[in-house]
Amino acid sequence: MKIIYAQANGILAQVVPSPKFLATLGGTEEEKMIHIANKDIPTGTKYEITDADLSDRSFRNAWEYVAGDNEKTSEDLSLDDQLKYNHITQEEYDANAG
Amino acid sequence: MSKLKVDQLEEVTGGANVTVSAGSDLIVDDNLYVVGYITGSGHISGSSSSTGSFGRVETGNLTVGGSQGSDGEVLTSTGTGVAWEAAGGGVDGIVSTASATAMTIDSNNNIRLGGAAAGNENFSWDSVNVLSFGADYNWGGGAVWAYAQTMFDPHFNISENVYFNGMYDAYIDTNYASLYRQQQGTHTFKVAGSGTADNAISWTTALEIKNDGRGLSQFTAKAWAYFDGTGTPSFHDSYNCSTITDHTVGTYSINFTNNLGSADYAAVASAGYTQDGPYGPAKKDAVTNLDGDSTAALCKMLVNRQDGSQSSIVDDDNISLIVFGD
Repeated sequence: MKIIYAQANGILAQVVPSPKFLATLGGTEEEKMIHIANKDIPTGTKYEITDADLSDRSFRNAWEYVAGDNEKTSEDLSLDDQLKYNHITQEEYDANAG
Repeated sequence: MSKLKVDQLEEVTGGANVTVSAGSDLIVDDNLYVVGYITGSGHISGSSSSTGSFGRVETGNLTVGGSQGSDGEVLTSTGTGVAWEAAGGGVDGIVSTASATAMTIDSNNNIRLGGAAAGNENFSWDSVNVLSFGADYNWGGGAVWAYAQTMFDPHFNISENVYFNGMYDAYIDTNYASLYRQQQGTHTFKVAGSGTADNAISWTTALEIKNDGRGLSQFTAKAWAYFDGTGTPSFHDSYNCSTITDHTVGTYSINFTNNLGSADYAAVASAGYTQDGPYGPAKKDAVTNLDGDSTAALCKMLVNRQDGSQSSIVDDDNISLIVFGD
């Protein structure tokens, strides 16, 4: 599975996980991909999770993202995950943790 | 039953005996002074019991209170009497030929090898258990110690020229210091410049090996990736890389599993391609850190094919990336 979204220039980007990282995640395949979207694409980006075959790269620079029925929006990771992935420091975590 | 009252006996001269027949008792109201030996096959008892309630030694083991011990047993008091028990204590195997104090166990249950502590390096705090080496700093101030205190994570340490003073790590002597710490499944190697005895140590973490296997230092790679950028991009293998973002032809980002500490890092990439082309030797180069594209979270790169004076951005199936930084 992969994540697709529209870049600022309008061209479609696809995000493919590493098997090693995927193996560290829990939940269903879709839950893992949602976690990856929240982690690796900008917060607030509309995206879709797909297993479509995109291996034919003909006209790759002209690919466009078209919203489907299962479009989602990337969200912030939890504070615990932000700390875990070194997105924030321990001091920032302590300041924001309730 | 006949009885012999000793206060009626004035003197028994040499060679003579006082004989108490079987079934009879010798009763001494005051003290009985024996200048020679008490011998014979009978017993001394405090009652008329045939086994006696005091002690006696027969040809075998000592009997006390009517209870005879076995070989190697020790006598202990039960509060209401005595009991024979197997010798314990686990002291067999400890042999000392020391001519001075060789080991001290203090009131905080800390152990020092080599004599009493000369100064604060005795770690005398309840929150620390330590095995330290040498009576003074001439031995280097080496110690193996563990720390446990409510509200703080416990840790285990091996250190040189360091003691814990109840608040912080401090220098034993005016010199350099180093420490290896295990805490929450991580290994941390700390070093410190020369400081004054008893002052707080300001540590520099030289190397940290995280529980997830990452080695964090200035001399270990923060991330590396070997991936195929053709078709649907995929990793051949990687370290600290969560995903590939395929932006356009020949343009990719490697997203780090754990962010670097700063976006100012060194990244080197290559593409495994070279061959003779129509304009001479052709090869592919991978370029990183273009115009600040890279961040602490990802390294963006592109693959450029150079064929004589012709160049173009292209995909490649053998792209490598190595990242060093904070």
